[in-house]
Amino acid sequence: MSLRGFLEGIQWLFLGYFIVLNSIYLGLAFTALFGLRRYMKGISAAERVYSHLQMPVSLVVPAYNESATIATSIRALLQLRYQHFEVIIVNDGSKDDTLAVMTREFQLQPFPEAYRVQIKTKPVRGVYRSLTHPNLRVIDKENGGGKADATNAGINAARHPIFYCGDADSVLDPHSLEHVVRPFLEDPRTVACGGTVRIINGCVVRGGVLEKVGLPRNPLALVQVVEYLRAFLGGRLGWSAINGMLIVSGAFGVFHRDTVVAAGGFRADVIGEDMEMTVRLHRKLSERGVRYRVAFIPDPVCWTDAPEDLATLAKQRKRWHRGLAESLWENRKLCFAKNSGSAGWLAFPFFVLFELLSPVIEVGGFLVMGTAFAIGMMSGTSFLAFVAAAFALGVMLSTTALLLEELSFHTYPKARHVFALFVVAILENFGYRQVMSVWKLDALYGWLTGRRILWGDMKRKANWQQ
Amino acid sequence: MNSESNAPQRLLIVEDDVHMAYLLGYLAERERFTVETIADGRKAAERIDAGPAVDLVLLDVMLPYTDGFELLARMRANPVWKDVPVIILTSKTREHDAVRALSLGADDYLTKPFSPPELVARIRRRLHRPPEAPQRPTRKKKRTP
Amino acid sequence: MDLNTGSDLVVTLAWRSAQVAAIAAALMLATALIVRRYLQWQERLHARVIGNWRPLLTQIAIEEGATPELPKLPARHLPFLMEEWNALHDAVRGESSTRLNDLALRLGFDAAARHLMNSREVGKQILAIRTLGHLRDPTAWKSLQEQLVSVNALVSFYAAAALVQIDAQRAMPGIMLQVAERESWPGEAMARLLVDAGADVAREPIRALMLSLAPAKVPPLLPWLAHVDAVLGSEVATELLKRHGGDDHIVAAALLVLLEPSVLPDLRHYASSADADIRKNLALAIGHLGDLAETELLMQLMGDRVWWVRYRAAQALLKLRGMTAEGIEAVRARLIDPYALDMLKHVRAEESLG
Repeated sequence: MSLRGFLEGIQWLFLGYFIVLNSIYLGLAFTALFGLRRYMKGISAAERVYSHLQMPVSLVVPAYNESATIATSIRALLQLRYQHFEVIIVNDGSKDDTLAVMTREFQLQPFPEAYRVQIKTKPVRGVYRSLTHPNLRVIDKENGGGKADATNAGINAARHPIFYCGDADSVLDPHSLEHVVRPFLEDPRTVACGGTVRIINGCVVRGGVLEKVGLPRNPLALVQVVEYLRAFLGGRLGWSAINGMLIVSGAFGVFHRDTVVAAGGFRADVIGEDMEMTVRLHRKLSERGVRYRVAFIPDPVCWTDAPEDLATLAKQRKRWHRGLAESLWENRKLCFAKNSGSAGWLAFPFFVLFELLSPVIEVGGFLVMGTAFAIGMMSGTSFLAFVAAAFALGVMLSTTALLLEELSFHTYPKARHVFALFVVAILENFGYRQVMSVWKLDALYGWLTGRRILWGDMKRKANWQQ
Repeated sequence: MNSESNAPQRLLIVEDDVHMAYLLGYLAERERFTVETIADGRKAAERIDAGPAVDLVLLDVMLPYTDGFELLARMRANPVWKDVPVIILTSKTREHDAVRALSLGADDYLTKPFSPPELVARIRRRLHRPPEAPQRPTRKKKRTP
Repeated sequence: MDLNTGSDLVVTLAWRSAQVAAIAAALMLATALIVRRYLQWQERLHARVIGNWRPLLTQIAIEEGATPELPKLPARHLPFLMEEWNALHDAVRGESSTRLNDLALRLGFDAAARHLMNSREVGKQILAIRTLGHLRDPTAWKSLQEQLVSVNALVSFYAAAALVQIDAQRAMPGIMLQVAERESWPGEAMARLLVDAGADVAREPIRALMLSLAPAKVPPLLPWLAHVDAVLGSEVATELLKRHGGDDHIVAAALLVLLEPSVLPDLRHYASSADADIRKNLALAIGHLGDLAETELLMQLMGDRVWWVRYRAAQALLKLRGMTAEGIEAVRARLIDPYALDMLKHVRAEESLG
């Protein structure tokens, strides 16, 4: 094959990839748009009918060395606007005085809980119950097995039909539980439900409760605001409309307890255990021919802390991408499986081609064309045309998410917020996304070569606490 | 009607539905009460712990954060609030709530939707005795109307 | 020679897509901003309408013979006012409702609601349905009947509520049909609807429905229908147990709504059912209705392999009529099964925590 032919092939591949990728995203965004409009229209009427309906929920929250913030986090959980829920904190063998702080703040009493082991975990040292809050229990277990193992211990103790699992430092919207139980009430076949996660940096939080929404000053966090909007409102909502929600975010997921127990609980040997769980539920349930639904609600239910420095962000993204790779690989049988519906036939191949392998094509495409341009094999205009196409399509996608946000929740109060986000939506295409691709490529390489990922504790900026 | 003193009596409304709260406030102001409205259970609990008692409380059961039962128990356990008359507001399908409220020490209950003249009559009956009278008969469980 | 000539097509395509995408992005930003302005304008208008009308509506609702001067009512204010009127209507009954209805008729709500009924927006349709229901407008009967079978569960639910307001008795057959066929009506909301209709109106239709339904449909409905009339629920449950004593789901549901202690002896054999739900619900039923005669059975259930059965059985043991502290101690002394002993300890600890 001639060099020229090769180059042309690359160009077609690159352009075709971008057009197909963006068309799919755009298609998802429009599916989301219609879903969202229907959702918003029905919401106030639904609220009146459903307002007195409650499905009891267990909140399972693992905590490891969080003595500084644990009391605030628990108070915030206990203040959720919901009548019927229990909070189960799993102290994952913290080395600091997390347990002592909880004991002091909530008057924990050792309790002879008739604890049943349905999912095997590291040994549980004791169960405590709060005297101040009857719906608060603490499971004290030995460390090991990470968040997955701790969550499993919490699930063993959970009493309600559905459970939420999340991080102690995520801030839940006061109405989050009301919203998230609705899919379970409306359709008893629902086995999992995700919700929109937003960035908390720049917001005012007091006592673990969100008081005022704002945008972060830190540019890196600001870009992530747009990124999250795109991922949740554009992508997930669209997928959920066709029951192809392959992945429920780790920061906010609600699961049907018995289904998760039957699937064997969270796996301690993968990196993105929450991601893996949803893919596995899809696989197992479609293998068994069970009719089920994985739902998503567009309401902003959870606010999470975004990394504000490159090193932390890199670590997070590499972990996510590796988690994605593992989740898909471990459940590869879902792909094109019988009865797997849009999850196996659309979402799975899409995630492999356009999420998992995207860094290869993006970085590869830019490299090849950049080299061709540099050595004079490609004219400036052609090169520019490709770069422009890639950027413009990216910008368009980000603006779609902004539009979706405006049509639904308009969380951000001021018009200047929208402008700021729009500017960021343009700018993120110049550098940020490319850096993401490189990190993802690195993670992919690491996964393929079996390199151990550097766990490292994610550096958190905790100044929104208090 | 009630007290002959000139100072207006104080009424606390704990209700999260804005329409209901407005309506109750309007009625109470017509009855020349000084009205205070709180829309959620947590703030109401803070108010009970911190502030001086009022002359009468209208209390919704289904409240965000802390429900009406807990608030009622909190009042009954607080020396300042323990004798303040409390009228519970509850929806028709949850009349068993009313039973529970009465056993927790509520003085009366009303189901939503309610009849305004009836509520006014009940409030008046509760406040027949001047609130500053030194020894008000202790009211524990009261008959249902 | 320019190496690019061969790839002209792909380059042109790249340029074109860049242009299209850029224009689309600009359009979307513009739309976002317009939508924002529009919503802000709507919000302000809403606040103004409420500010003007809320005091007036309230005054009319509670003051006899109040004839406040009414502000002008442009068509675009009407939906906001209607919402407000409906919300107030939901709060009051008696004379106040009548006065609110007089006002609504004066303002032409009936015609406006019939017009809104044809709207394609679910929210507007529901607003219309609620309005017609509160107005108790018998001429709306036919169109409400049509909405009752709407594919949208909420629309049909509100239509049912409106029909009940207009004529509960006449509405029952149609509603019962929906209760039987729809799975999408939230149970508690349905119970509320039937309570509004009045237990005396709803009782016999419910009994007839429950005894004629396909067995698979009974279990989710039973608890809610029992909520409308507990005695009826218990009677129906007793009858269902006789007819479908082998259907696990029905038995489990029926056990929860029984009120009659005299049926307990006939149910004891369910303690060895293979279905854990049945064993758990049996323990619950014994807790509500049983006396010391059930002690042995509960001791057996406290050794069950399912946690919830053990838990409910131990709770029931403490609640048995006639049970005393000494009685519990005596049971404890006789228990050998470590699971049962653990569970007894658990529920007693729970009880002492309050």
